[in-house]
Amino acid sequence: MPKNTFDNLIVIGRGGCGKSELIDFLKKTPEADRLEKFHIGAFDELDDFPWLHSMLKDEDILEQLGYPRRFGERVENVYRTKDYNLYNFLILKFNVTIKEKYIAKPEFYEKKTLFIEFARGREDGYKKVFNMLDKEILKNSAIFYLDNTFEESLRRNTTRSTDKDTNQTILNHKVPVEVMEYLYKTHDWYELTDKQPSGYVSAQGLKIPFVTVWNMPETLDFKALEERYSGPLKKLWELYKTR
Amino acid sequence: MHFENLFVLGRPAAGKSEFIDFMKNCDPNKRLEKFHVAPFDRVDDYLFLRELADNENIMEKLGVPKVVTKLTSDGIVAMNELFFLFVTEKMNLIFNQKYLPQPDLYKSKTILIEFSRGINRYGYRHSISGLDKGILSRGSIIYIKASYEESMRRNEARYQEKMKYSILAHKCPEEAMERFYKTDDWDELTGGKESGMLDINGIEIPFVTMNNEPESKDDAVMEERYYNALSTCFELWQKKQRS
Repeated sequence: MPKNTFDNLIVIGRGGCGKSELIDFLKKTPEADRLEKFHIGAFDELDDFPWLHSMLKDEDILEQLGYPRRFGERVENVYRTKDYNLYNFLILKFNVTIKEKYIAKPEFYEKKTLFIEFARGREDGYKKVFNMLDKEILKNSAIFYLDNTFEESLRRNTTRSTDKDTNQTILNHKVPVEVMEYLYKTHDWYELTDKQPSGYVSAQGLKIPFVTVWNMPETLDFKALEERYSGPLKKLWELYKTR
Repeated sequence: MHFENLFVLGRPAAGKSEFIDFMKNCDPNKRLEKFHVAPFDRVDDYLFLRELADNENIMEKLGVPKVVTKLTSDGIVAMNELFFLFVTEKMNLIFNQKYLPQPDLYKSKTILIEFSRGINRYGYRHSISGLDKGILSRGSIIYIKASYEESMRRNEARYQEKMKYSILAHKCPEEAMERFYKTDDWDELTGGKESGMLDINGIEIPFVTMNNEPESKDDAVMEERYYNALSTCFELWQKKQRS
């Protein structure tokens, strides 16, 4: 019987575009429905934000021990990345982790999907990622890109967290405004996809199916979200099957 | 009633992992009744070293030199003793994020805290004293005792056994065994007693030292060994609760 679920679903878009909320919506969708409508059964999630946050928190400790901070600085309770090599590190960490924990255990993919979640921006952010992610990952991946305006991203980013939150979680983590400005104000997604709403991204000789979803206005209404995501996920599945 | 934070201490290859595997495979009702261990989480500081080493390996590929860990032919070694301060602080961080803010969690759970220390500046006294009061006040300690020679022998035997099944097998590198674990300060800390109360930062912590020699693969032998040690330790814990 042919496989009826995505292997790797890459969920991307700038910080505050609604990636975590999409995943939250999928979690709240009963598994049977999710499988039938969206081709997503049980799933695991890998998000590079906790790795980034953990690295920066580890630097707090290492700094107390006399090591210089190399990757980020802390201003009150907010971290600011100062070495953008960290973002390349995170992609290589995806490679190592996914190959060790998932590709090495093919039984995972028999019924499950792996969500790979990250945000990139600037003139070559996504291009760089798709040239760095391992081909073994990319060859069985589909991309779900969530778009909104930069102003809307800033607004969501500000409202979902306060600076006093030290225990930043996936749903409440906040990116500092200047980092938003520097990293996410512009991006190369439309250059990479030739401004098409769906199709294939070419990278490393592979065709990776994608859809772009306009994720505005923000809504928490389950029905509205279902309507917004259903069509694109169906389209993505068609592209994925015929890639 | 059950142990809340149960420290499982001892040299690498003294038998800590075997103790935890035994508890993992034990019937949950029997485990609670006989060994006073509720459903448990495991916090092992080796995983902090492993994570840091994995991150440093990736960073090295990006041209960022390692500062905390190094790879030897037989595994990961911390470059210096400061690493022990790092993992102690990381332990505090994990507990302050994950466990201590939810005191109700301890009504139904035990947290097993696993680590090894040597006689250097950052031995057991130093490391235990560096932990937050919130961790210590819920703590009891089982120290699993094996001589250095026996630990070395088991470390190598365990490695050879794992190598039959996986090229990813690892052991505590001989360099680390020699530098960090040849001697330790446990007997000095406990005055050579087999059981009793440690006074750390004004907090009484019940402890028991379990002699884990000769090595046995017989579950019945190990069950009796664990039962005797944990019964003694739990009586001390109850006594502390009553006082």
